[in-house]
Amino acid sequence: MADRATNQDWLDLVQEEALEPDLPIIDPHHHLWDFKTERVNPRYFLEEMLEDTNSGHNIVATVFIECGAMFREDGPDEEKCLGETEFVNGIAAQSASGLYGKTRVAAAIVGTAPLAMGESVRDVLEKHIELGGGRFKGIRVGVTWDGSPEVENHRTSPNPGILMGEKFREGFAQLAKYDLSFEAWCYHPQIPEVTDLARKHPNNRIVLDHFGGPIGIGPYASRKDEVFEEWKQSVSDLAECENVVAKLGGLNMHVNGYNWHENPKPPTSEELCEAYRRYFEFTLEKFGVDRCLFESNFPVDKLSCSYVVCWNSFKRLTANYSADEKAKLYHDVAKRVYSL
Amino acid sequence: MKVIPPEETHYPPQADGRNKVMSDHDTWLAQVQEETLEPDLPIIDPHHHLWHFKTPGGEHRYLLEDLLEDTGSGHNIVATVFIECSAMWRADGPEEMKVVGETEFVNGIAAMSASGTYGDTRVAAGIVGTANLNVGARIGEVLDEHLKVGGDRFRGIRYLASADPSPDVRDGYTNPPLGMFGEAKFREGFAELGKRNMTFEGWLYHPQIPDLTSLAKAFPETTIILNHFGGPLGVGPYAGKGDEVLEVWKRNIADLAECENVVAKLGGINMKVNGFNWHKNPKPPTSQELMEATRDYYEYTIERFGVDRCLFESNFPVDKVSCSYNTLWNSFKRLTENYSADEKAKLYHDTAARVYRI
Repeated sequence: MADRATNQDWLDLVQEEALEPDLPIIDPHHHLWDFKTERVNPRYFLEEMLEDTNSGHNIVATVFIECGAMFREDGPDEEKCLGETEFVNGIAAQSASGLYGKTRVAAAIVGTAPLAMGESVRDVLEKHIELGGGRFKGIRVGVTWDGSPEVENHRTSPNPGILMGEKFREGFAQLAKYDLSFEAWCYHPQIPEVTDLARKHPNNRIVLDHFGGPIGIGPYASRKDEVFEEWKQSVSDLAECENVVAKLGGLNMHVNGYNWHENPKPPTSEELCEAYRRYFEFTLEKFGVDRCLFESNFPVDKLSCSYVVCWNSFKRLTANYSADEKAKLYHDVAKRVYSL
Repeated sequence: MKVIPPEETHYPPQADGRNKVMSDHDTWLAQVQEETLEPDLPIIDPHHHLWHFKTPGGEHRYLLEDLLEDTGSGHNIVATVFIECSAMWRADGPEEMKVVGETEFVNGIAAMSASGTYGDTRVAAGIVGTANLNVGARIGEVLDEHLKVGGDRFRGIRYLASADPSPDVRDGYTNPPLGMFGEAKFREGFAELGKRNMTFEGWLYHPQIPDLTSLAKAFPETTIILNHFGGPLGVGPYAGKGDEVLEVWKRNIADLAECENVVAKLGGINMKVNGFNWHKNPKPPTSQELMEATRDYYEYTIERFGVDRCLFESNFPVDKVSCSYNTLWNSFKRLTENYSADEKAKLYHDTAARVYRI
């Protein structure tokens, strides 16, 4: 039996029918975890995920992105992250048994590994691949960091400039040898570091998460248009790197400063679409539909809206796109990037 | 349609361990409440299942938190070994590889447990999967795949051999031919286990024990674990013939015990096929009643195999049809009441630790 989200009553205040309910979607970004009491779904396992993916849209497969879940309690420090891959591959196997419907949950798995340990991270990568049952496709190292005390840094306490470190890059270079992608999760002032990384390592494939995290709280709260201009410049540069693709979504977090969760009612898909439109359209303009993919970032973004409303907001944006463009954005690019 | 092991189809709808929802069956079981005997004695439970089946008759669910309700009910269970039950086989892909889905599923649960966030018991610290050894040497590929996704926990194979000519006795879900252990192809597949230091779990019925003895003699380097005393039958033509069954069984066990590469699990004798019919009574048995009804099997096996080659097992949730987890281990502890500390350590922990390298 699935657990209810802690904000479910509030989410239920906005009810929408799923738009274009037959369009096949790969959701290339979600988490699975337990005991995350700071989130609206402290437990988000297979059945909680299925409640969302079965709520109206046609989700044919999903990609799990690391979130520090089920790390091993014992054993060498650098291998603790393998526990997450084992855990998620177990859920993927449940899903692949066919017992839980057609959606293939965690058909691809992106884990984490301490790339900053340098070349020797290879052993950890090999173990991830072995344990992942053919599903292991990439590594994410969260590097979100900002100098303002009001902006929360990543749970792994990254050093500022981690992406520029020599040891980190040595570890990062290993990914290409195993054809693993790298998920870049940073805040917008750090995007130039991702660009530098992409330029210096043209054989590595990079996925930009959540638009590169435009910050909208603390010192950034009062200067949203300036942030947007800065972000535009950074994203234009990044888009020139052919080895980078961009995920479209993940703007519903606290750090983005829209504060939807503080309103008496959650936003409609129309409100969401209008609020974010400039971020989506600029990224699409620069990267093109062959290098963009929509993502739910659930259950993190469930803080602000339901799964149906989230995907409806994307579908409003693409209402006038061609069938071919839609196929790419909702399905084909994800299929290619994660070799599903 | 998924093939459901016969043991499982008899099992009543599951309770919900996480949400502490009791089924009617739990209410029945709860009529017997016992203090846990020797609650500090460290135990490895070397035989249980994890599953989620959806059948026309209802859902059967026994996942991490359901098991933890049992292992956390009084006894000191430090680790467990999962035994295959045809759960979560892959829906797609090559036929022979479908079984690997079960190992992935269970290793996922083992990883949850190993994260330390669900308590001290290490669930599925050892994993025994299945593979159709009848296909011969090429089964090695499947065994290697099990090892890869098993996260260093994969230990061995069980492939059900349980079959009987009587239509009243349910055969294993593998529909094994009688005499399977003697087939050349099966033995060719079996030989792949030894190359990988894997164990084999023998699950069969008591008239088949000589087949296992012959297999054990042919492969002296491979550790074989006899499941559930070799399944003494008590239904169909065997019903009401407890004494005769016991005599045949004793002869067979005496021969098997001569093979040093065989160890014996003590337990799993509370299934419907054993014919004690505990589940038909208004109240479940006490640990005392359980032990007295089955004492001969335990004592004779220990006499023949010795404590170095015996290990208690719960066979949960299959045996839950008759008694609670707490009552079951109490029944073992009544048997060993006067055993030395060293003997107890072996029977409840050390033999399992050795056999499954935990």
